[in-house]
Amino acid sequence: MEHVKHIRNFSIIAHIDHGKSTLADRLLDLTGSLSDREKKEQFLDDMELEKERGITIKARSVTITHVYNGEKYQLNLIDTPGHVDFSYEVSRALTSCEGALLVVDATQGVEAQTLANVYMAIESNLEIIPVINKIDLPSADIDKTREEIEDVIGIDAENALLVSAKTGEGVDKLLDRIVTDIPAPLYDPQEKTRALVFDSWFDPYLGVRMLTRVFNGSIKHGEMIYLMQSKAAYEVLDISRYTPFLKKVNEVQTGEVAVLSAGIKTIHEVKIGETITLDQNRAVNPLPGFKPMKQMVFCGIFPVETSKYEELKKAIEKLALNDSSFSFDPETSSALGFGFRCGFLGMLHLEIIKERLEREFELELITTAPSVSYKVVTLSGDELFVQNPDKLPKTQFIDNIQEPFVRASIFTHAAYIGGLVKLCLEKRGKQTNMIYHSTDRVTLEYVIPLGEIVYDFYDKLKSISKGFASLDYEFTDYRRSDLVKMDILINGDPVDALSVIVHKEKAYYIGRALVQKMRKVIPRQMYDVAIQAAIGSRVLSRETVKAYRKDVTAKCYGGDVSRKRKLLEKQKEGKKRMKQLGNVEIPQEAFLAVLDTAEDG
Amino acid sequence: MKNIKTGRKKISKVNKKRSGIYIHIPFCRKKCFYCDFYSEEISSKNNLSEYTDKVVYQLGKRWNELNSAEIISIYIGGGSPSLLGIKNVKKITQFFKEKGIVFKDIEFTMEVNPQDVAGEILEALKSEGINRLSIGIQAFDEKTLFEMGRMSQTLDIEKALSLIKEYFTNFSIDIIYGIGKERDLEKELCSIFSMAIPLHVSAYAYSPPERVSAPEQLVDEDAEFQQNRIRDFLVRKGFERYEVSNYSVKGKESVHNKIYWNYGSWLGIGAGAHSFSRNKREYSFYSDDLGDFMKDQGLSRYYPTVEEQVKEFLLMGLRLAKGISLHEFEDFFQKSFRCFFDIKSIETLVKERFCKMNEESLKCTDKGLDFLNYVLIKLFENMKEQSGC
Repeated sequence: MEHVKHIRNFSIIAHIDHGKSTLADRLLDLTGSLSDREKKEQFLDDMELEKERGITIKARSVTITHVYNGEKYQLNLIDTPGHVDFSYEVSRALTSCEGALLVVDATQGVEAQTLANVYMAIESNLEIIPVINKIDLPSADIDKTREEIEDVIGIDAENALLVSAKTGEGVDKLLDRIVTDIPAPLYDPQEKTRALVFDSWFDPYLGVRMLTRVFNGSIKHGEMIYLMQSKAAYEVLDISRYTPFLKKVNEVQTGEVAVLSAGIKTIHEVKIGETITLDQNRAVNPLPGFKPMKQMVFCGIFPVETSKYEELKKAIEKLALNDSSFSFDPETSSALGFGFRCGFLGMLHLEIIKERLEREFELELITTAPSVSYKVVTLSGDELFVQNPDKLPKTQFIDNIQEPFVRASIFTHAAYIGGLVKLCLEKRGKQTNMIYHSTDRVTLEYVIPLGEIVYDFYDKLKSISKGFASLDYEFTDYRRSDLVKMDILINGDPVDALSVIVHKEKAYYIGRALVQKMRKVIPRQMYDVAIQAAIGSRVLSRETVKAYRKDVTAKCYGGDVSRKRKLLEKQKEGKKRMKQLGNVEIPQEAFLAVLDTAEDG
Repeated sequence: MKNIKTGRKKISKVNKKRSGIYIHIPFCRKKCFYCDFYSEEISSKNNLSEYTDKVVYQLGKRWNELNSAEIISIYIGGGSPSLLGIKNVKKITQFFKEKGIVFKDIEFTMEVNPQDVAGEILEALKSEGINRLSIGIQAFDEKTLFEMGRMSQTLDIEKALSLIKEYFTNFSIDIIYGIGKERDLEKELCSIFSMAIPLHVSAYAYSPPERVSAPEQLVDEDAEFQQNRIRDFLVRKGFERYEVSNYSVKGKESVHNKIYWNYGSWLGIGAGAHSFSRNKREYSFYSDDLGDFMKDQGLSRYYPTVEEQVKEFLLMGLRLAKGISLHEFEDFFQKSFRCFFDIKSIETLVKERFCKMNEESLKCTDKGLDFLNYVLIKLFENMKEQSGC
């Protein structure tokens, strides 16, 4: 097991835009892993959306070789997603490392997302190397950043490395430090083969590919492996390693990271956090820390044209091949026809999936307002989970409704505390802690209903704090709340897809804001359109979209024909995204009106 | 079905062998704020003479494009054609005379601005063979005329009308509504009619061009109120609404504009002017650039796809109260109307009383004409992607 001494597994922890991907590119550069021809911006983020949004959605790994004191070292960089929606994946990826580079932007300082991941890394006993990045920028404040790392995170930043991932300055020293500071993988020579799956995706030729870290023993090509959570055995058909292009190897040994393929047909057979052992010589216990994936946010997804249901179905199934973290169940709405109720890890995840469906499959979609999963206890004592407000049982059958609560940590500059406290209060949050890291850096801790933060909380938080504050949250438990279903009626008929579950005390004002917002987004039609918000038979608010008047009958002579036709074609296109409900046309915005009502009220 | 066949023959004759001629005079003393037609502010008389020579030259050059069709209308529009002067008008009429066109047998219209009208000019136009005038009155209200950036005042209009009726009985007036909140359109029309009674009225809704200087249009409700006042007045005076925004006494519908609405052929000459050849399904148009025109440049051609043709056929034809003839449609496209449109979708429009349809035609009701955009979009939405037929 001599080889283990020459392995270093590490990840990079950084806030969005603090330069993680650029640093990774630079490491590949310096170790000569890429030829000039192969170089491209942000090598690790190859999904189009990842590049556009500047975030990592899937975990990655890449193996690079570094020579230190004349000896060759295998460095495995494990790249992790950077968004709060994906914190479980992050935790699994971190478990697969012995160390982490904490990258802090010298112009921005420490941010909450970084904090959450650093704590996760500390909990996983990782050796942390602080790296201060972007030192080439004129606004870089190295001393202050160093101070912040010590005050806020509480680790020694005396020896923090100063680098510029952009220019490459200091990156060579960083490679040496990875070798000297991060411990080689530890292993128990008595333990049977155990390997952790920290990400997986679907490949049309090889089936599911599993990004795997071997903790004990080894796995060879052709061996039978056994998945301890799924309780199923498969034959290893391929073992490869990113260098950074996939390269086949025969065996993956203790301490190493590799991509395994075993002819697994669907991604749902492999869960993130799964333990792989050898079928003939099974380990007794799986690796610790496995949690089943939990969807937090749900929404209905429908094709604008009802005839496109089959296309949507195929598209969703195809996406699900590669993303085991979203769920989908067929749903029927009297307003929107056939579609799916989909569950996501968070709002960003929802947006990504929606965008991919529209972009990669060219579908026109109507999505309903996102909802969380409510727990309803009926009078007969049954417990059920409701993800679609319209499916809430009638009041007379309900004993109580519970909603998911989260523990939210907001990291902010002290100047914004007032506004943020007010925001949390509006969102029914209860403060549990307030930690001053320095005179002007504070973490606010709240227990807050998830339903209140999935909508616009994050945007508001950013606007209140001028972009400074950051948020991290974690599900805690279900708690009873005084919740009611609010219906929206269009010309007297409730529209199932527009129902929302709201807190009773806020119902009146949300109802009013909602119908006002809808009046603005529903265009004039041939008839008056009445919009009402109601709880049961009690109408809370009403607005009317007046029927539209005669068309402007401008001059139309010879030269105008084509122009006039184009104008009409444009108007027709504008109507495409609208949904016909009875004789009323409702645009997509109306279904999401609830998302930005709070402000108007 | 026999009827249809004979009908078809007749229509072929009417539409395939007839054409109109449009001449564009892109000069104005001053641009009105609302106007979207191509024109330049005039600087010297020379321009006009050279321009007219160019028009005559282009007419000669492109004459064969008419394919020996019978000319049924000549229309000199602008811009302000009344700036041309008799000498230039004569150059144009001379050309047509040489082509053997007998003006008294056709509609020969010229647009005039009230402030350009003088007795000797009207007399000359009449003697040259022009038999119809279109007068750009737009409003009979000082404040509104000012707001529009018109050069004429109500006094000019009064003078012009009293002169015009001495020489012409066949004239049309243009009115713009939807601008000037405090106007009383009925009163304005009443005043105009008390001076001279037109045989044709075009009443357009003001739609501001995308320019900063353009005044805003009235809210829908007010514009609609004004339009109703105009319509009520004209109907009382025995006018018929034969097109979305055009009214006439019986038999005095604009021959020229009906060519456009019937998707017929016309040859348009002048900077910014468009032409359409129904036979060839071809648009041709001069660029909005005087310099290009003077250098015999800037002529482009465009061939609309069948789908575009269908849409244009409808959007023009349905402006007419008589609607479109389904036989003519079939004759034009060599496919029946049902090949392009699901009859069910039209049934909804019929049920909602926007349209009327029978074996012969599809037309808009009065309500349908008022909501023509809605009707057209509904039709376009239900247009089939060509198949099967």
